[in-house]
Amino acid sequence: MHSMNSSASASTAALQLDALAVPFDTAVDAHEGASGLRDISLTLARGERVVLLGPSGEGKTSLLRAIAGLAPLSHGRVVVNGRDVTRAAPELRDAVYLHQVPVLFPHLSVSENIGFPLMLRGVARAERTRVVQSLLARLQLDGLADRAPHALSGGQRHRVALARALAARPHVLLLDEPLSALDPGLRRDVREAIRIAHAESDAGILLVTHDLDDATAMGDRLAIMLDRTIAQVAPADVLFARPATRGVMRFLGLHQEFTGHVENQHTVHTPLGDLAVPSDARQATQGALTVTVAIRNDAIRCETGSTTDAGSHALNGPVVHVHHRASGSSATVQLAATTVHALIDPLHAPAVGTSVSIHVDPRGLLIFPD
Amino acid sequence: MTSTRLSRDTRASRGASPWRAIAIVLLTISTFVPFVILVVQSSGESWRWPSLMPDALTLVAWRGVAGGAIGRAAFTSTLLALATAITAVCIALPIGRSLAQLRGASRHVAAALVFLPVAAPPIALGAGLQIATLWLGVGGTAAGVWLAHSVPAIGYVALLFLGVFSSRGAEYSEAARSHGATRWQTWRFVLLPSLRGPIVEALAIAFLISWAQVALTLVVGGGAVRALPIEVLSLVRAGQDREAAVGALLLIVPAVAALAALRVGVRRTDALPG
Amino acid sequence: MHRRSPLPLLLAALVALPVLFGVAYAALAVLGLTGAGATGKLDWTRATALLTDRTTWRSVSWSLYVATVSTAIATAAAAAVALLFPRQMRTDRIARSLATLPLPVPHLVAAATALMVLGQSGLLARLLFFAGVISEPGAMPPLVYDRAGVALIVALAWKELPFLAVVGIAMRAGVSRDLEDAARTLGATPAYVARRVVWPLLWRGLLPAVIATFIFAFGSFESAVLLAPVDPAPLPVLTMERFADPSLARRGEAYGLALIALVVGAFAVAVHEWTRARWGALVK
Repeated sequence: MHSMNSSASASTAALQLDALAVPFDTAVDAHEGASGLRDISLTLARGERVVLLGPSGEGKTSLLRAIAGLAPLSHGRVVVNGRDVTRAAPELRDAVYLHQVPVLFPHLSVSENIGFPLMLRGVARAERTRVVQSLLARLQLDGLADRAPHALSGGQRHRVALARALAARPHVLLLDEPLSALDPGLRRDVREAIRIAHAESDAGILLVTHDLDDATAMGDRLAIMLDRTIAQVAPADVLFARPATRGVMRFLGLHQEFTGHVENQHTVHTPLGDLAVPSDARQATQGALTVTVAIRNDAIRCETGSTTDAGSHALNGPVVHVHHRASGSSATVQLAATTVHALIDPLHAPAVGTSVSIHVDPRGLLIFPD
Repeated sequence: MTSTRLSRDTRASRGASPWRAIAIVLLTISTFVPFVILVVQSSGESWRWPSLMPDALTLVAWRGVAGGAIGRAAFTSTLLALATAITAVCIALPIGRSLAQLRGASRHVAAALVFLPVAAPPIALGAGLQIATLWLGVGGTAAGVWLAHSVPAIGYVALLFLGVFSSRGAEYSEAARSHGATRWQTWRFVLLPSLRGPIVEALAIAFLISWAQVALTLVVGGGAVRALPIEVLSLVRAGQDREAAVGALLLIVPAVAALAALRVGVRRTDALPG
Repeated sequence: MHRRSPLPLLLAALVALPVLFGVAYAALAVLGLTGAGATGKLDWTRATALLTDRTTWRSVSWSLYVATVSTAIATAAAAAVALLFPRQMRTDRIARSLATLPLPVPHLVAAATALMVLGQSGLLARLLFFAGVISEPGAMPPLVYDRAGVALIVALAWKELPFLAVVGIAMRAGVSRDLEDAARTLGATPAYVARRVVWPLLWRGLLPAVIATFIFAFGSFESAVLLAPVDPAPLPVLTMERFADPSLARRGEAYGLALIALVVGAFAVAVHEWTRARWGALVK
């Protein structure tokens, strides 16, 4: 039952998923093509944190549970630390699954809960106590060793669950929506606990969430799940700069979309004027008549007054709405062909009705074939 | 918002006051008067029409319990009820757990099936059981009656554990196995301990089902098995009110005790269903 | 752990087996194919005699009547307790405890006590005598062994109340304060909230328990045998009589009566489970 760490090379991934298909309805006989996730492939390195991000729905949880051995797979391979565990029982996978609401054994104290994996493995009492004490300290649970689970606060329960998972010394930690439906204070608490857990162990962490901000804060890489499969896996900055598909782009919500008519290889005509096609997007425009042009929100600026400067693709229109947010202010401008949201300086916000000119930074352009 | 709630409560309590007072009076009468009557009846010397109280108090009926028919019947009932309780829990716990895996229509069908022996009118149920126990060679014996009592008890307890295992049980199991526990370890270290409360509850309920049984005991036992309720029934029909009252009070006491044990058991564990 | 195994349903069927067996045997017995006096050939005479006998139907309908009235009374009382005493104040808690305390008291005890209280020379009669309302036992209106089944209804209702009160209280507690507050902020008066928010949830949550109570009342033997009239005899008592009848034909009819009772029971169980499926998750 002890993890086979010693023989694994440094480059062995903590977790590798090969073309998994996960059925949604576990009571029905699974077969490909039915409702469920398909073609899920992912590699999780030791000590890496990957966040599975996607709209709320059953898929992400089912995937985690399938990896843990708690839900069936209809196709594919799960490899933990170089060992194929696709057919293995949950207790033999070295992959610990943590429920969204922490599941602590009600009849055991905090220290007994944490020591549970050690007790299972026959670790001697003295050693068990030592490990439990150290975990209690690391996760700021001092003084709670003999407390009963029902007497713990929400944040404390999350930390006990994480401590217990660490005690099992797994290769993979599977966290199912750990921050969903938590108030901000609790959220910070749990995020911090996960950070500590990450620091304490070299397990790969696979985390599920539907919140983009949580994902970017907690993930080394983000795996966007759309249309029942993984659309893109990349670090956050790459994701924001180069979303791979239109679906990912829309999911991230950081771009504004417009229909573009291809004039030639270098130019595309949009409601915001003729824009230059970025060099790496030339392929997308080949042979196409219309494409989707996506412009990053922060690539659209506006300035008061009009401009007729032909070289900067300027366009003019009145401001119809100004929106101030903590993350930045924007003005909604009515152009001849469309409305557009432009970033503005909150200290010099144009009044509604003012005529402004729109400037597009061509570096923020993405082209998606229709 | 708080002030609105307070004024609403005050208004409500003022407005509903007469009904609540009436209700409490009625409830108190309804709950205690039968008990009081039984106590007086059981210790009354010559309580004839039209006296509102017996002429004198006597404990002769109570003293007669120890060596008499009532005492023996109470003993028989206790053994039967204990046997039924243990049988029901041993058989129905695994069944309830198995049923908890079902979903959708199958689950409802299973719940209905399991409820059938509980809801079936006992005389009718007894008819079939009488034949069955005769075929098995235990007709008219205590063993046969024990089998008969176990039938509705198993149904009820299975429903109970179906509920218990449907709530958090699955998650405890998953957490345990994900942390490395084998099936057996999961049972031993997680499921069984957290089942202590529900098991106590199930034992109490199965005990009560057997303890209070009349029809099944009559039909399957054929009058040869003198459980306490049968004894009390005979006494009532024979007009021996004083002895019947003693028996009736004896019938109540363990039932109330079982319920008290239940409430204590409930408070101790966290793992009971909502 | 995830394969679709037939085992659970088989186990459920096993638990129900005695009832299913009883139904099968009773059907065979009443048709003369088995049991005492069986001819081994399909014999409709007993079944016909049973179904055409007015006694049978008077018995069934009288049992239904008693079960319905007693359950209605108990339900109304339980709902009243749940609605009148929903809070955590001491009075409320005392009231709830009073209502649920008699839960473990056996049917038989309730019936025996009812006999002592409501009998011709029982406690109530003596109180009335004391108050000068009646002058002798014979003047006491018969509440026991009477065709209206008053004592039986009272005994059954008294026994059913704690169980329904427990369920009703739980259901009432499950109607969250938030729901009521939401309604109030939308402009609803307390009376409206009680009528249109709490009550609809309460009765739906209570319904399975009401049906279970009804079927228990319908099939109760010990209460009926102590308090019911000879004619019309309630179904359990009639069945018992026929069982003990020296005539083999009558004994065969007993199985027919048992079959009728089982069918009513099975129907009630089906309705019970249907209401649980439909409304079980409404209040939690």
